[in-house]
Amino acid sequence: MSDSIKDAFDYCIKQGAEYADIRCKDIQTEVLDMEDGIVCNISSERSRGYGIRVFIGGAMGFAATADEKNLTDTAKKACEIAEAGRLLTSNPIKLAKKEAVWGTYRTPYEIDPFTVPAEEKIKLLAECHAIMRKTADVAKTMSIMNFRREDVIFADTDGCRINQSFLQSSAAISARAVSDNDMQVRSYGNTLRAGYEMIIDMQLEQNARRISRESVELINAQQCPSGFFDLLLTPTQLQLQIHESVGHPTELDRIFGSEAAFAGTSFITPDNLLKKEQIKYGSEHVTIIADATADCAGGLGTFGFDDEGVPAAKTVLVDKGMLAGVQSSRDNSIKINRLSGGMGLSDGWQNMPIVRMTNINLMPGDFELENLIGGIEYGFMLDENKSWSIDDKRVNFQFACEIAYEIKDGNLTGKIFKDPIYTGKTTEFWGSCDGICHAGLWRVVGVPNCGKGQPMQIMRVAHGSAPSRFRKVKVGVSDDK
Amino acid sequence: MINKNRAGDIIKKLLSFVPYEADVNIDGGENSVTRFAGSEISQNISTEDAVVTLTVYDGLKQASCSTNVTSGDGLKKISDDVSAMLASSSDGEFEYEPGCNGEVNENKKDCELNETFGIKNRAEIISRQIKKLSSEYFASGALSLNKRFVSFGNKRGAFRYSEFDEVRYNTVITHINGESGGGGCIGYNACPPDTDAAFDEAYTRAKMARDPVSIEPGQYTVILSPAAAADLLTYIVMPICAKWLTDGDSYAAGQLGKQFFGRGITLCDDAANNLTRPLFFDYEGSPRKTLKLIEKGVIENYLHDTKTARRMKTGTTGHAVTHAGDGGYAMNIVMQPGSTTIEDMIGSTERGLYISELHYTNYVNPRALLVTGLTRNGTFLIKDGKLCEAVTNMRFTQNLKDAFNNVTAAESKTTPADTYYSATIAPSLRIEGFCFTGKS
Repeated sequence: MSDSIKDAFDYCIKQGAEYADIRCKDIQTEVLDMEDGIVCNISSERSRGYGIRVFIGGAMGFAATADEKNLTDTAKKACEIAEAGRLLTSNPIKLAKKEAVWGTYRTPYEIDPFTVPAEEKIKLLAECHAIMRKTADVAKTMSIMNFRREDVIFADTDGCRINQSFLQSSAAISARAVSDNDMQVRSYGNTLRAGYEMIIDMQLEQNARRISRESVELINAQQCPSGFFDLLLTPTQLQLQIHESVGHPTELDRIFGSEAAFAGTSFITPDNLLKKEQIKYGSEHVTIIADATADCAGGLGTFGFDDEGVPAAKTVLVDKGMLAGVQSSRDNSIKINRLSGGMGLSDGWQNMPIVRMTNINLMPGDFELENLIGGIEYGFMLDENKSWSIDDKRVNFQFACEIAYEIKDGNLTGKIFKDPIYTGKTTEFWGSCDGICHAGLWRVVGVPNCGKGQPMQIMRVAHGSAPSRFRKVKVGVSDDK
Repeated sequence: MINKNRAGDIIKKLLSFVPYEADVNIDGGENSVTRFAGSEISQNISTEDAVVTLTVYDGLKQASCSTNVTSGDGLKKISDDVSAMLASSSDGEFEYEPGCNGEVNENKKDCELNETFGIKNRAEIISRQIKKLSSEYFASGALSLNKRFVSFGNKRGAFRYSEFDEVRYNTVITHINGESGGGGCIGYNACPPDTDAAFDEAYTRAKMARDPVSIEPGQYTVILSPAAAADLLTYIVMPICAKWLTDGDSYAAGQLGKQFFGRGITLCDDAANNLTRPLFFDYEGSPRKTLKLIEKGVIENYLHDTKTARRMKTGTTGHAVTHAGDGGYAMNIVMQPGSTTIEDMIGSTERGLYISELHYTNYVNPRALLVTGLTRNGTFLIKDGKLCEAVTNMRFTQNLKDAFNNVTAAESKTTPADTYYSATIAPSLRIEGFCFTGKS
């Protein structure tokens, strides 16, 4: 531990702090952005700083600085802020117990993307553009690569000392077709905690061919019909369905109202948890686990320890359709007499940890894809999200996808529809799930832009799933007008 | 916080390191937020940071590096890094074009909001407000003070610096049975916000929100509060960004100079309006023009940076937010008021809904200007010209072209509402035939 961190802790203790912790984060990013085969942005960014959180008399203060030389002054400011908070803290903030651990963690990877020359990355993306632009009528092609390295040191007055290093790689391509009154897009991409090897494994060129063809076909396709239909959702749509209707409502800070004035609350109430009430969340096919451990390889929510020094864990959120757990950090898990679930995370040194999703995964079933399709008389397979909205208690949702593949009499017909929208209510929707594909079709999709908190924190989370079938879902809104 | 002299020194030093055409941006300040939940302060933070960005150009090549490590060799490092990136990049679309060198009104703070919204003041304000609540209600929200500076310089000798304080406040007051009312405000040095008035409005709405009824989706006449109206206005203005047009995302493509919305809709982007963020130059250093966006329903201008302007063979409007050619974004949206009062708007509505806030609005299809979202924190039935019982939250899926052709009344008073970049100035609006497609 550096002298400046020790001095900062000493200052906090002298001010009467029950507890203090510090996160030093050094984050480097690289972005490479191309449009129509031409580089439009190549940039890098470094952000390094120190965030100190202190608890005095049951009130919390947090201050952050980019300059290590200011650490003691920053500790002083955190203490002043905590003192000010005591003016309105009738129920002192307490923290659930944790072990004082010393540990390290490093994202496993094969190729450091920061060592791969920009020329090589540009060449790969340029090849994708060339393939997409071969398809007649593609109006615009876009692509991006994004890499992030995050080195984190965590220390606290309980004796924790943790060093972690995360590596994130991302690539995405898209093709757009335009008519006088319409634009249709098909996309392909992913973001994982991995090295450049994941970019190589993505088979960008093969997918470039597919998405450019489909974008043009969509321009000429009919609007997706409205009504109640059976749906098969692929992982690129399921990821956001899980995120919005399971991830957020099972965050314990939301359940206790901490986000009431901004992101909203949850249909799950503190009483539900304290009285251990049984809540039916979905059908018996639905088991959802928050998994921050190395078992979820590549997930953006995979780490060794959270930003409160709690080891990565697995928490069953939904067990065979029944609510079984919630996501928590130290200051809220104690309110339900539990230890932290290890989900106290901040998006950078400048923000304090709050409850954030890790990898929220819908566990695989045992269906073959053909069996799920075979059980649909008339319906659609929906792929890739393009619009999302859900109410402040996480009940009423509405999503739009890029493409609907028609299923008729148990077969994909080859016909596609544009602009599919579906809507529903959380527990009814998950209750309508009657089949999930096997582990061989299960994949992790990164969500690198989850916003929560004031000031807004943009967190990187992930969701694993396999294609899943839902019965009699409301599709479209045109019949409501 | 980096003052004007220090910003100038950093910019000069960085520019001296590189032999190319170059722009330097510095953006930073101190952001302090006091959050409260369950009528107690729950999070209380302060962060100080400054990010320096060096963007260099060589022929058709461009590269950019940012850092917040300005001490030691931090600045030299980004100049070395950006030169290496430039060498390994390939040609882009355009050669360097400096932002417009027109005169910029250099903003100077005429008062320090820290004296009113400092660490202790914020706790005292929230504490005082919460004492107004009866025991059946509790409050959540956030009160923030963002002391911010922005600076720009380039090799051509341009130098800009501006500083301002921004106060944002929002609250939701909830009855123990779960019904809630919301309010909020935003302000700058020239016109600080009245947080007490916003709290009182939220409390009034919370008391009115008791025992809501559930009504069926369908088409309703709605009266939108200024905050709800401002929310929808941002979804009209975003696609006027020129990049959205060239990407095929915008409803406004091919519509310049054409009647698109109703004649009662007049919008501009006006950095000179002191109720909005007082930043008079953009990311490329160009003066932020006061720009007519929609005049009596006719789309008058698109929002440009230098790159989208060249692509569309026009000049920048001073709305750059990056050097990557992301197009122009409006940060100072002002809607012209109407001629009626909110009381008259409600009084002349036989049956409709009053909407306090919208939640999670998002495009379903920006090209068609189709958006969805929900009502929140106070939705009330209007019957025979009077506000009546509360209703549960409703989902709308609405074409905004249709909505803004069906505005039948606008309030004569406008109010700043907190939207993503800054304050948006909007009146209350009455819209006929607003389409609700679901309910919570």
